[in-house]
Amino acid sequence: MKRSTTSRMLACALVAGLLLAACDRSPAPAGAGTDRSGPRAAADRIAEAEQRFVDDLYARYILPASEAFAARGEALHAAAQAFCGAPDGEGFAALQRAWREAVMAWQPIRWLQTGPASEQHRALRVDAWPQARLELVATRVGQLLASGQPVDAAAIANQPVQLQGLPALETLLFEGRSAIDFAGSPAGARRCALVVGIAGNVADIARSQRALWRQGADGGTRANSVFVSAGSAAVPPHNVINQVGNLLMQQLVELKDSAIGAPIGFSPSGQAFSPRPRLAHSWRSRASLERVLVSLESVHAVWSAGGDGYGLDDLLAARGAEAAAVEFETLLAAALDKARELHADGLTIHDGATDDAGRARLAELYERVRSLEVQAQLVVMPALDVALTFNFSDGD
Amino acid sequence: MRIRNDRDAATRRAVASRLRFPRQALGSSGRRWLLACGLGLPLAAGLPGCAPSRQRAAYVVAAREADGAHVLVLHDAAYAELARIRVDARAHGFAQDPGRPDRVVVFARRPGTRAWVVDLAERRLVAAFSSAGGRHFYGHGAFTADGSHLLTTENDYEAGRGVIVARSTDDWRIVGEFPAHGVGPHELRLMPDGRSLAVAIGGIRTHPARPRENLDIDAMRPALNYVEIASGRLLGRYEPPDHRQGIRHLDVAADGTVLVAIQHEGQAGDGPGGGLLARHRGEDALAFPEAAPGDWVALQGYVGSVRVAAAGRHAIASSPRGNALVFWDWKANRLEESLPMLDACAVAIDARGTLAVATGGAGEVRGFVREDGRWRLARVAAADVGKALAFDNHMEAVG
Repeated sequence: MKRSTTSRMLACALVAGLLLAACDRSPAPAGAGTDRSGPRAAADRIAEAEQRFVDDLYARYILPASEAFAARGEALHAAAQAFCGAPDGEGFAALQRAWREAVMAWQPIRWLQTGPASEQHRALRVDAWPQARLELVATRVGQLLASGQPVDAAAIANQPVQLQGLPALETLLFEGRSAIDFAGSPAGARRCALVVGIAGNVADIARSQRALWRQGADGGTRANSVFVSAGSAAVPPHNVINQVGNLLMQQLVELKDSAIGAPIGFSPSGQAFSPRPRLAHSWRSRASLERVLVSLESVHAVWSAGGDGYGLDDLLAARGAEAAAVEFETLLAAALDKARELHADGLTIHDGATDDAGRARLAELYERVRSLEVQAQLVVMPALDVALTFNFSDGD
Repeated sequence: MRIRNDRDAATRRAVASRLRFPRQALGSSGRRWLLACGLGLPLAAGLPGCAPSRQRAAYVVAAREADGAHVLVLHDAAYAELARIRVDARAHGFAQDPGRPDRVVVFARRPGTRAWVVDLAERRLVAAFSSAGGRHFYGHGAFTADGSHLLTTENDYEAGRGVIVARSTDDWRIVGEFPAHGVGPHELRLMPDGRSLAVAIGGIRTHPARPRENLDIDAMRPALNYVEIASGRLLGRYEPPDHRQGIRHLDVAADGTVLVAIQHEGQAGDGPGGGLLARHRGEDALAFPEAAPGDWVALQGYVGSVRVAAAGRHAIASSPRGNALVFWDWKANRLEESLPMLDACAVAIDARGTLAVATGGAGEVRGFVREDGRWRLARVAAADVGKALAFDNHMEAVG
């Protein structure tokens, strides 16, 4: 029996050897090993270009932006502490300003819902939007205020995400409030303590996120792994490009459908329904249009890597898709121009959605963002060899 | 007994042995085996008798190639691709024959009408069959314990009735059917007693004329049903607290505990009615696991797949909408960990609950290990640039 098995193994080894030898006789690609013009060399060049993009994305975008948000988070916490130490109108205005600055520092990295931002639900805890129910945040804030639960930063970190971040603070600071609502009574003191607790939680999350993003500061494979939450596993740069492409698509879809479309009454399929101004992001503070503008600017910053860095436009050029790059850039400029124009005119999405004239102007912005999204989906992402995900919208 | 034409065990064995002829014949003769290996090289590459030269598939997953072609992808235990098998429609779930592990049936995605039989050793389709007129598959099925019958969830769509159809595994002919006791039955698994099924009831009426549309959300009646195979009798029915919590996927642990995955047809949030995974092990109601803040919200109202380790206490679930994977200690009924992964959907876990794998719509395969009480990402196997595969909803551990 043993002998039979051995014979079989030897016979098979012989056959396998013959097969391998036959395979080895297949002609080698011309110039293999030295030629830098073959398909392998082209793939290597693309991989190098992709890694350069990732490294620049960290150096020119992620690290400065996460640094800025951490700084604004700390400033927000400090402003909350200062105001609650001596509540007055000036301190309240400074606190509202600090909240707005923190939001505008967050908005450029809001789309980066990956790596350190997605681990531990950090992005969700900072900015849980869009919400399941319209007034869920306000309801939850009211319930927490009415309860006897602790509201320091550590306790807030264990509350539902709707209570942990910038939307909850907006509810507290912009719901027709003034300094008097935070002083002179136990209810006011509790409200102030909650503001300090949430601001402290936001500052903690921003600090953690900054520290984790810094782990990719040296670029290369470590940066790739941090970006896609791969721990110590090695990840090629194309996985990061895939993730960046899909995240940018998600951002464009969110801008079109949730940030602009829903408040003015456009469904994702383009059908009209009743406008719902309160679906605007940060409608209480009237920061919604500025958020859209900052998001579009962030798309431009990633696209061009700040102008002199290696951006997505350069990656497209490396793939010989300059025409696609030019067209996307034109559409992006048009969307940015419209957003800037509306913002300069003092329009907000919440207020604009309440009348026909405002809606018509916002619909122009919607249309430009839609064109951008279509171009990204149909031309740019395929040109970058980004595999656009589908399970999220096409499950069963 | 509603299953007709149920052969006795001896006949079944005889038929099975005929179907396994190539392996047995070659295995019985060293000379013939060597001859086949040595001379008929192209042929031998496909023969099970030459299996030592081939790595065994550990996982099979549905996918789409860059040009839109639908394929089944076989991976080895290290997630390296072994083979792609083309199918003529989008595939969904799998059922592995317990008696013949090389035989796997793959079902077309709702409202598909095709199913394919794959021989894992030969790495090719060996048969195909269709649903009857007026019916379509829901993308899932299960073998009976003895492998004699295949049971599939199907939609009798003009009547708006969910049915479980039984086929003989000798020739895939329909031999009977019984009601699923609910509209929109989806995944079903055999219970450890071998006599009953756990059936996920989505509760939503659909029609192939409007294939991806849910026709009446308000009338939804999702449930976890237990159905006796021999009689078709409903043994138990457990509904979630919110009628919009559609139950489409489930898995069964060795002790009979059933884990269900939920798709919320409204706007899911935290708290009661917002849970997207639940356990049932004989209680009066589904039990939702304890979760950390954000765990449910992060899943964005949708869990696409759930798999439980045959032994132990661990399970994995996916949310492609939330770009997240969830690891679940179902005995303690607590979500242990939520890890990000882009468009993650198809998942599998080993029998002991120490290794897990997930694939995503962007072509990634991720392997996880459980060490020191925590799940850790151990490996990312990426699709080659320019050859991107988009992995679909489900995979099956077939090793």
